[in-house]
Amino acid sequence: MKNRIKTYSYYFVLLFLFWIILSQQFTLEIALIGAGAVGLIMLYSKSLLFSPEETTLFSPGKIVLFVKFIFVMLIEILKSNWQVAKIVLSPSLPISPSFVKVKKTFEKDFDKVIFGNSVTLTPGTLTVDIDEEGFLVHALTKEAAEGLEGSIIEEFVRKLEAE
Amino acid sequence: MIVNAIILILIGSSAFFFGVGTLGLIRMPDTYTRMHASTKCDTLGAGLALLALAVYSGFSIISVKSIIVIAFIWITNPTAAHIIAKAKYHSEKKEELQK
Repeated sequence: MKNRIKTYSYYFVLLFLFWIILSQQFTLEIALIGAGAVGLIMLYSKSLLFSPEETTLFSPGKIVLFVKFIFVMLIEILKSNWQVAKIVLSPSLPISPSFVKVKKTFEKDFDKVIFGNSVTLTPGTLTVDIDEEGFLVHALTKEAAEGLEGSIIEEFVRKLEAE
Repeated sequence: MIVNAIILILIGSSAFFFGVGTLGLIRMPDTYTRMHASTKCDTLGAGLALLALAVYSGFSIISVKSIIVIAFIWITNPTAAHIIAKAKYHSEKKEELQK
């Protein structure tokens, strides 16, 4: 029960802020309409909301860590985007595509999603399938495949997962 | 003046990455490698274009909105890429089993 209240208040604040940003002004009417709409949305998508057991982003410390992770990801994306651009532009097209099985698994589905999406977001690697054993990743080059072991992404997701 | 230069650089590199993504889509040999080229360069291309918009509108609600749009693109883009690759992988597996 306590967890459910926590979930609802968390989502209420998040969706309400989003509503205020979209409506560009703050008056009583808008606040009331927003609160009503957010309430209805939460009622409709009750089963979709993450509870504190499912996601790790409920405590302030984790959110700070996540923001740090976003900046690290930005640098990674820039670096590897440049590498893919170089590969595409070079006349000989130096690729050696291969499937790599990354035998790593995370307890929560939420962390799996963060890891999988981060791997896909960094160019050169693409998450193809997820099962109980780990992730099946398609790598564009050998370096990209080797870079998957002990990557900075994994480190951060592990930190996010830790209590 | 300086702001204009920053916007110019952002738009220019955005166009560059979109161009590279499209070129990669044409040059790469199979589905997976094509996914690499197109989706990744789109991520940065669209991101930089929206960032240029955010810089252009200055510190206002519009820049916050365009950053939110970037966040949504960066969540949905890898998800879509993953689903396409997964569909390809599983259909290949099925074909192998039928042989």
